[in-house]
Amino acid sequence: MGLILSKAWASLVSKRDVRLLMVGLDAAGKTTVLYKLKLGEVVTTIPTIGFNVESLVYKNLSFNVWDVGGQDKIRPLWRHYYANTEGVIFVVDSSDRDRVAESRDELHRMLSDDELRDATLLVFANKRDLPNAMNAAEITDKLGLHSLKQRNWYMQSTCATTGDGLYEGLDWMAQTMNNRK
Amino acid sequence: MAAPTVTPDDAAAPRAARQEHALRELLALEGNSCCADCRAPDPKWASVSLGAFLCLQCSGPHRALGTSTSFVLSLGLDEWTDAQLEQLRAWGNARVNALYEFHVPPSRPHPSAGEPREYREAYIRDKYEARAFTAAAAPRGAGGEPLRSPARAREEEGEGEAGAAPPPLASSASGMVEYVGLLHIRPLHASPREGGGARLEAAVGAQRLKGGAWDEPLRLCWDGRDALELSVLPPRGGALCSCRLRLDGLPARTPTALLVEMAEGAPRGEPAEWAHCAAERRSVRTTLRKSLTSLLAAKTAGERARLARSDGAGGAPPPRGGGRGWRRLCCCVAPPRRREKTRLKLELCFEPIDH
Repeated sequence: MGLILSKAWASLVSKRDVRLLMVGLDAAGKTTVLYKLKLGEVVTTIPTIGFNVESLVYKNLSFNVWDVGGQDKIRPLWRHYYANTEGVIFVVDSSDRDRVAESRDELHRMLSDDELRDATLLVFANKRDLPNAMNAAEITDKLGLHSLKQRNWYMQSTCATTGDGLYEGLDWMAQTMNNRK
Repeated sequence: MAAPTVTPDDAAAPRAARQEHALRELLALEGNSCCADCRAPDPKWASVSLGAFLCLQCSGPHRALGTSTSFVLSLGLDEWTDAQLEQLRAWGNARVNALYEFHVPPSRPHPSAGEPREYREAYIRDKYEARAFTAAAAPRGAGGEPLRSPARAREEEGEGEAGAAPPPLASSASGMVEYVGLLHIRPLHASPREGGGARLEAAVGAQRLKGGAWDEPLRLCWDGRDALELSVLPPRGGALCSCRLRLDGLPARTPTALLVEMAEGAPRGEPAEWAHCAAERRSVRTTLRKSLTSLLAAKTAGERARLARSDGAGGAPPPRGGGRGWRRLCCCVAPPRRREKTRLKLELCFEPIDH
């Protein structure tokens, strides 16, 4: 009885650790997303050379979010962060029409890695406030998300500087992780 | 283990070399040796759409303008197309500032290299987005022609800025943090209870990173310059007598010496029993050979010891193959025994050696 109670107590108190990896092309807004979620503020970011990591406690989960730089030559390093990653947040600049194909290629290359076989995918179509931004349906199409057959994915349009859409996306992630447990 | 450093494919190598050569040529042109906005030396970034060379700090506000106004790439970390290089060649800082800084009012001077971010951001937004300092926005003279600001005119004539010292020459020590590589920190052993709940913690600047299980390696990108602090935390309620860590993927290019500091090894005032580091050079492929490397013995907490490039200590043979830099480092630290809750802390950073 005591054991059951202590287990129940532990499940109430302890937060499950979930490792999330946030990637995307350079200047998509990954670091802005991370710190908007962590601090509720818009921080001035400089290009991430390396990574940022923060833990966010949300809905009885403790997300460890890794934000990794997106410059061409840093992208091959993403794979070093794949191990034990349960969810991927892929950030796309909705206004960057020129590079959406490059985004798609990077996304599919990453998802083909065996270590991310079971990882869920949350796509943030960021900078939706900018003029000429593509809408969520257009980005879903251009990223080829419908071709992901076995993958649990979700598309959310966001504006990291106002915070719009971020928690909707995180809600989905939390729900997915809780169902998985 | 996979090679942690990023090397271009063989096929891409000539292209990368061509790009580097082209960028270096462009950087040598007048005006391009410093940031177009704050004049910090040694720019490592550029706005492709504007054709301006930028420092890391100014590249942030540029990216915030959106890619349609300013599309920023790294000179070293991104691949450039010929068209992008051509755009930089066609513009360059001198021409960009002739347009965007035609008339800079004395009340709104360009930011300095160390400028806090608010002013830097506001200036960059006004300069490029509102185009507030162009000829079209400049006050008019008697004949209706736009007036230049005196400071700008002087700067363009090569007299330097009014009252401002010329920017210091670019040196490797100044400027931006460059990516070096991915560091794997692998806990090997902790006694008395191996894996018994001990945890590894790493910190670079304000960023802290906690390891999970003891046998799970930490991975982090490290520039090799900012001090990296490694701590081994004892298991809850337990003690830690010694530990061994292995670091793979240490920067191979830049470092010339490795500083290892026992920052907080032992309880205050108590000397650590010993600390010992051995490093393996890049060219040496055999297992770690202590005899080959310098050894250090930091006898007290806070004492610094150095693994220098000239492995003089102990009469070690010179490294073969002209290999430079450290690839692997083993740290073993043992604080005095009989101590409860000892936290071991190692601080690693590289410093250039004066030749």
